[in-house]
This record gives sequence, C-alpha cells and structure tokens, in this order.
Amino acid sequence: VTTVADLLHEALINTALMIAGYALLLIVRSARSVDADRRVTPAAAWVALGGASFVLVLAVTSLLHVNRPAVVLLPPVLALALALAVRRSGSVVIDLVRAVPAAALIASSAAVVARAFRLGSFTGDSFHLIANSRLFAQNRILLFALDAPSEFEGFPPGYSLLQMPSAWGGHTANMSLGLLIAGAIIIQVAHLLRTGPRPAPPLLTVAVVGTLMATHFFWVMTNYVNSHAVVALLLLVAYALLRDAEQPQHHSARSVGELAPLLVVLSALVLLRVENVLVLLLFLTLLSRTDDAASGRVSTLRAGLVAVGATAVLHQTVVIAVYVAAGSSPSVSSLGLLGVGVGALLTAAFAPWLIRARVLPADYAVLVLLAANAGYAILDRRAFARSVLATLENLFAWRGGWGILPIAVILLAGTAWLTTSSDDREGAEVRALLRFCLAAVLLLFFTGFLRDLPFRVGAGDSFNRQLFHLLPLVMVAIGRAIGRSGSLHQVQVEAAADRPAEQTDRAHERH
Amino acid sequence: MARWPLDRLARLVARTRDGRDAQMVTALMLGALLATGAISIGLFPFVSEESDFRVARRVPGAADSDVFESYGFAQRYHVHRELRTRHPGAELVLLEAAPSGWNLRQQLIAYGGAGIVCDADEVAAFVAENGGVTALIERLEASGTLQQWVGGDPRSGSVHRIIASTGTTRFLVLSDARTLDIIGLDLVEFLFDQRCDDRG
Repeated sequence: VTTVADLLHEALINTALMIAGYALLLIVRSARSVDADRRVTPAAAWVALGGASFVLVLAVTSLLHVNRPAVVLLPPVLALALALAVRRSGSVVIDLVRAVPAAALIASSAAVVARAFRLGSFTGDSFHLIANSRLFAQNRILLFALDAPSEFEGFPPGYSLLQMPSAWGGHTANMSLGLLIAGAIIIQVAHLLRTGPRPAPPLLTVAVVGTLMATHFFWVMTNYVNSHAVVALLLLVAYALLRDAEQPQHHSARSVGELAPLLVVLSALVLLRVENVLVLLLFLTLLSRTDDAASGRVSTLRAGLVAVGATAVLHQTVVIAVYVAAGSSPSVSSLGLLGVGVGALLTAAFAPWLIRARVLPADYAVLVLLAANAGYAILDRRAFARSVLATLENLFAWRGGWGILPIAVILLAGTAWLTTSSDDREGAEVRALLRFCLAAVLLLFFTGFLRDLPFRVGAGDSFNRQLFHLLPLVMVAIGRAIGRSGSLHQVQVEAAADRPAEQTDRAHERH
Repeated sequence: MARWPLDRLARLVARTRDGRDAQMVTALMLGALLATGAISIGLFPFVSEESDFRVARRVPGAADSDVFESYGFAQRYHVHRELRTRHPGAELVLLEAAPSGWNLRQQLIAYGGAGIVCDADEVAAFVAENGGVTALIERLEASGTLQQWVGGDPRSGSVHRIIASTGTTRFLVLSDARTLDIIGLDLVEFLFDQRCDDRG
C-alpha cells in the first residue's frame, strides 16, 4: 500500500533532481548566446540535466563508498555552486527560491499520478537494474561485480544510480521518473520546433507532438523501468545544448562553464548504456561544427570528445579492474570500449589536424556503417538474415509495438531528405539530424554482430527498444522539414520569384 | 516511357527544394503526420499484456513494489522476500544452473544469501537419472525432504520456479532457465561432489 510518506519520499528525490537540473540550466542561460533563441526548454532541462548530474555525482560517491541518503543533496548543491561561480548577473538564490516550490509541485503531482494510474512497465532487465540500484545503495555492488563481472559489465551503472535514492527509502523504483521524462521529451520536442530561424506553426507542433503521444509504445517506453527513456531525453537535450552552444553568432571561444551542462549530459549518457560511447562519437562528429576545432580553439566537438572519452576510459577501467580482481580475463568488449575511449581522447587532441586532413569520417559515416553491416551479412549470413527479418516484422508487422509510426516516419523522413537542401541553414540542420539518425540506426544494428546475438521478434527486442532513443530527434527533424516551408508568406514570395524561370523551363520543354 | 515517373519525381523534388510546390509537399507531410496520430489513437493500444512488457496498470491491485508479484519472472523476488519473512535468519543456498538470464545471485546478494553456480547439463542429468521432475519431487516429498513449496509448484508447468524448504534451516533455490527443476539437499550434495563452482 502506498502511503503519504512514500509519495513524499519520491517527491523529495525528484525535487532534488529537478533543482540540480535547474541550477545547471542557470549556467546555460548565463552563456553568451543569451539573446538568441534558446533551444533547451526549462521543463526538459530540469529533468534531463538533473538526472545527468545525479548519475555522475552518485557514480563518484559510490566509487568512494560514501553512499548515504544525504548524498541526494550533493547534485543540487554542486550544480548551484557551479551556477554561482559561472553566472555573471542576477541572483541565483532568488531564482532558486522561485524554483523550489515549482519543482516540488511538479514532483508531487507526478508521484500521485504515477501511482493513481499504476504507471510502470517491467522486463527481466528491470529487475537486474533495480537489484543493482539496491546493491549500490548498500555499497555492496562490488560483491556482486566480483561474483559476476560480465553481468556487471552488461548493466552499466547509470540507470541503477538514478534509481538508487528510491532504494534508500525501501522502494522498488522511482515510479514517477518515467512520467517526468515523458513530459520533458514532449515539451522539448515542441520547443525545438518552436524556436530557430523558422518557428513551426502551432498546428504542425501539435501534429508532431500529438503523433508521439498517440503512440502507445511511447508511453510504455517512457514508463519502462530501464534506461531507454532517459537516453532518449538526454540525446534530445544534448542536441538542443549543442545547437545553443553553436549559435551562428557564437564565434568566440566557449568557456568550460558554458559547455558544462552539455558535458554533464554526454558523460551521463556514457554511463547509461554500453553502446552509447559509439553513438555519441557519431553524434559529435556529425552534428557539431568542425570549423572551430579546425582552428584549434576550444570547441564543442573537442570538449565533447574529451567528456565522452574520459568517462568511457574511467568506466571501462573499473570494469577491467573487476575482471582482474575476480581472477578472469577482461572481456573483449571492455578492452574494445577502453580503446574507443582512448581513441576519442586522441581525436580531441588531434582534431585540428584530423579535420584539415579530412580524416574525420563525418561525411562518410553512413557509407562506413553500411560497409560494416555488409561485412556482418557476409561473415554471419544466418544471424544477419534473422536480425533483418525480425526487425522488419517488429517495425512493419505490428510486432514491435510501434503501430504505424515506423511507416510514417520512414516516408516522412525520406521526403524530408529529398525536399531539403544543405544550401540553407534550416535545411542543413534537418539533413545533419537525419544523417545522424540513419548512421545511429546502422550502428545500433551492427551491434547485433558485435554482441554475437541476432535480434528477435517482439517489442522487448533490444534493437527495437534502442530505436526509441532516436525517435524524438527524428520527429524534430521531420517537424522542422515541414516547418521549413511552413511560412506561407515565405513560400509565396519564393514561388513568385521563381515563376518566370519556371515559365522559361516549360517553354524549353515544349520545344 | 519507363523513366517517366522517376523523371516526374526528380522534377518535383527539384521544384520543392527551390521553394516551388513546397506548400503541396508541406500539406501532404502534415496530413500524413496527423493521420498517423489519428490512426495510432484508433488502434491503441498496440502493446498487449502478453507482449514482452508487463504494464503494471493492467494488473489489478498492482502498485509500487507489489507490482513485482504480478509477474511470473519476478517469482524469485517474491520467494526471497517470502523466505526471509517466514524464516528470518535462514541460510539461503542458490543453485543457479547456468545459462540463466535471471541472475538470482545478484538478488541473493542484494537481499542476503550465498550462491552456488552449477552446470545446467549436470542438473538436467541428475533430474533425468531420478526419473524426471515429477518423479523426483514425489520421491523427495515422500522422504520428507521437501516439506513445503514456497512461491509455486514446478509441476504446474511454469518454467521459472521454485524453492524447497527442507525442514532444516537451509533453503535451496534452484534456477534453470531451461527447465527449472527440482531439489533437495541430496542434490546439493551431489552438485558439491561434482565440484560446482562455489563462490558464495
């Protein structure tokens, strides 16, 4: 039976989480691009940045064996200290006084709604993650890790750490976290459509957000006790933060303080899922500006690569140490990911040279990944065929839980790609986002080869679930592609300007 | 003639990129998006209770930690809690016949207990030698080795099961993702004899 004390406990945790996110948002707001459109909406930032800071701070305290309930207060306190240090004007304290009641109200409402509607969905993985969160809370995670190093490796600590404060209260899981994440995703998608050079009209925003909300799988995944919804939200917010940091007028070098929220999100993503290191390398190389890095200045690309690389190296070092302490040989995957982390750090160090030499594979990422999957098909034909057939069945035969959304997304994304060009800024952004999503899908499919296990039919298939990470970004790209020509006035002006040329074309055709 | 539709499409794409015909494409895309949303609501929900995901709100009375009891795969969580409640201080012994996706060791460590990892084939062979699951259970029950079942009965056909109380302070949990069978202390002794990997 859920008691008022249970609700208050969860509301308190989520309030602390949102206040941590709020403090980090203050840093974003103090950035130099203060007059430009801010791509990160407060609602998403409170949850996403708060969740990311929780993961990182609790990871450090767990390593130091100082896990006590009071640690919940560390992320907001650290974030506020950082905000005070970076913010140049205004009073952080006054802002905080305003924010606490709002966060508490949202957290309490979410806790009540989540229980009233019995939100929450589980699979076997949920139980592993929750058992780990309990072990983290008890400082006994190493006991388990030394007993089963491969399973310790297979379930990265991020989501369990996020759930750890609930274990302190004797609860199974933070049941309202999913609701907060769902809300944050919806609001952030709408906000990304409503900002930028060509804000989407309200009907378009409603159509994009409505389609997302009308998909039952969206609610299952956001309320699923696993890391998927957090990853989807953090990727979305990382994209918005990247765009904030790389506003066209933002030519001067960025300070670490200004980039801090983005780096916190990227590091947390590395700790949330094994394959995220690879996805984030694609994210950074395909979506961030390379001209800054080429000039050797501090750039989002280089700072991001350092955050991803350093976190991956630290995480995999712990995993390898556990294997060694348990008397086993480190797994190939842990050594490989350590190598990827070191590679990211080296890429950051040599970024200017690599970009000038055109070695960074940004332009060829999709081709390289297509080739990798072709290699998969050749080396393990049977597994590849099984994975392809299962995926087709999941996406187009209603077995994956998506409904008709995949068909619509593929048609619309294809149309968006064909009807945009990289010549204008908006079109270039849409194409870059779609290219990243396609590359990430190919990469995630290739992980089937790396893990040596084909994908299967069913909503719970890991590839099917991982596609959810990219869904909000794809919806943003589609919305922006439609909104690109959404300004009727603009279209009419362009059409009028082009009419004489069109008539000339027709005249030529007649001849 | 065969190239005609492609030519037409290429021309349409070019014109749309130039800004001409953009309204038509915009309207089509927006319509497709709205239709997707509308159809999705109409076909709601796609994820059935029988699918991989167990949606808590469909389970009557499920709330917070109780939700675990609503799922077959959470049987062991229930079993552990049940054992701890009924027999505080009892020693839990786990036999996990790998390969098992359900890491009982993890939960045993989280909730207190020891783990013994054994080979699935050895467990299966032992069960086979004893005439199968049902015969072995009956034999163990008749000998008084098994006094009660907690959390279910393997004869019900469910894969993920069970536990046996042996009438001593020692309890045995056996987990085998393929068959999930059996047990009594004689099996523990058998498995120890087989030099199972004991990492308690």
